[in-house]
Amino acid sequence: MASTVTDALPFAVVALPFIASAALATIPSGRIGTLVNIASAALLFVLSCALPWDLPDHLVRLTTFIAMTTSWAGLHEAHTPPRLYHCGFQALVGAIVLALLAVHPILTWIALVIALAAVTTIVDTATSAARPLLLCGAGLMLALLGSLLLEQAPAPATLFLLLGYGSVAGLVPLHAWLVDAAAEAPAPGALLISVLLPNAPLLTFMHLRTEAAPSMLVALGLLSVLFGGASLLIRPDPRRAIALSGVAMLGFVECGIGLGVDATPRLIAMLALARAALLQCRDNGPTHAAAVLTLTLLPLFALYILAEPAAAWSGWLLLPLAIGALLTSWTLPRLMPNAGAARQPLLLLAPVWLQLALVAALVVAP
Amino acid sequence: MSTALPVLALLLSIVLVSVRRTRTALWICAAQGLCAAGTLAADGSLVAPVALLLNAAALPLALQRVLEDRLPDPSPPRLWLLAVGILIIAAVGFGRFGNGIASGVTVVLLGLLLAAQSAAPIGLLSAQNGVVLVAAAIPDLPMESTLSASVPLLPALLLAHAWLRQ
Repeated sequence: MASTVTDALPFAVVALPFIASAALATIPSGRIGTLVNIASAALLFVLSCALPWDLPDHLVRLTTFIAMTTSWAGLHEAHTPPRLYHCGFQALVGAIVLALLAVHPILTWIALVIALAAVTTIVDTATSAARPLLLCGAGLMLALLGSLLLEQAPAPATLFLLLGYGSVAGLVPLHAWLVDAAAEAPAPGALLISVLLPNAPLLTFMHLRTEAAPSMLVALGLLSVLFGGASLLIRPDPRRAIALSGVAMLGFVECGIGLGVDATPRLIAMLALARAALLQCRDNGPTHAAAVLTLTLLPLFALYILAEPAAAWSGWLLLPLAIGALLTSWTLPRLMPNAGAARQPLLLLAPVWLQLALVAALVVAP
Repeated sequence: MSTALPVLALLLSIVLVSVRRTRTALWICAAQGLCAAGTLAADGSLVAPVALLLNAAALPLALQRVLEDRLPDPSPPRLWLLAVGILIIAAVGFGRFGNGIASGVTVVLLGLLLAAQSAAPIGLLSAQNGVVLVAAAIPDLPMESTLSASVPLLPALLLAHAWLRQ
């Protein structure tokens, strides 16, 4: 049975990052802040391992694992990030976990508003946070409207929810903020924003039970698949390219949810792990090549998973899915130059390989 | 009373689209917040004072201190075209769900249009008033949902951002 945030262990999993965030606000030293951030992320992962073995808790474990490995990057940063960055890091992880574990839709919404506040803190350390606030804020307003109207007017409410939470997940048409944030925020923060934040809205999509949801999910998913793939043709910089490939891949996930594909949660995990591995990789040797190859093959694997249900739903659906998959797989490796810096320390290489191994394990898992 | 107030709030939204001064826009938002809180109060909701205090008083006053007096000038023909489109879509799509819901959804959509075209905090505050109208129009809505609809978290986030920028 799924756990709820009112049980003791899930409550601790949600509370720990927020407590750490508050504590980090009082620590002036960047070095100590980094260590506290790492310790809190590790403890959170250990705690989350004790959660029950079901879907929202799997996503929580995925979130805490990637947050833990991402926090290690701080040990080798040349410049210590500002104090607010670590607060935002922990608050964002806490908000994502709360959104994943929340049973009540309004609590999910509040968690995502907190996540937006944390995103602006992280992005603000590098550049203006006005765009996330505007696009994501507008999206969350639509999502609140959708949550309220779900029983009164299910069809329009579903559209509001999909557009609204789609903006948080970085899905077309309100995706632009996430691509910008992923390109402009400090690398670990960008990873949290573009890789982990989308999981909470995607879980909300899985819980949508209205009659109109499947067709709307497939239509909006196709839009993301095609737009994300086509956007890679204009040759964006590497971090934008990873974010745009994520838009396309999230489109596949959205289609998978709409088509009722059982393997969709697996696809979500594989996408998160592969993107995290590539974003954490700073070496331009075999590790980078393996990460690029994994992310390049993912759209084709997604197409393989979706092909049968898509053909059963409607034959024409295969065409745009195949075009999107081929576009993404063909263009992505060309946008990943050997731009890496010096050799990466073993401590930071290990999680990259571990994440890639997990992706491989998920491919062959029954 | 409870049928007139949502319509009044909708009319104020239409006026808001044409306003170019921040102070005037915030007065209109405050009046709209008053209408939304009044609709909640007419239904006997305990959340009405919260909505009144936050949406009709605290937030407009706080925004007046941090926003510049002149709003960015959007392209008026395009703005009006979009506004008329939203009015038609909302009237046709939501008319059958009742006056309160149709007016509330229209106010939200016009607010978001304003946020995208001109002033984000004012637009989101107006949209929040629309959400309050929708919450008031839904029978037997749980208290926590009404409270979430009435507390302007997103406009407050924009306010905090604008304040920190200053």
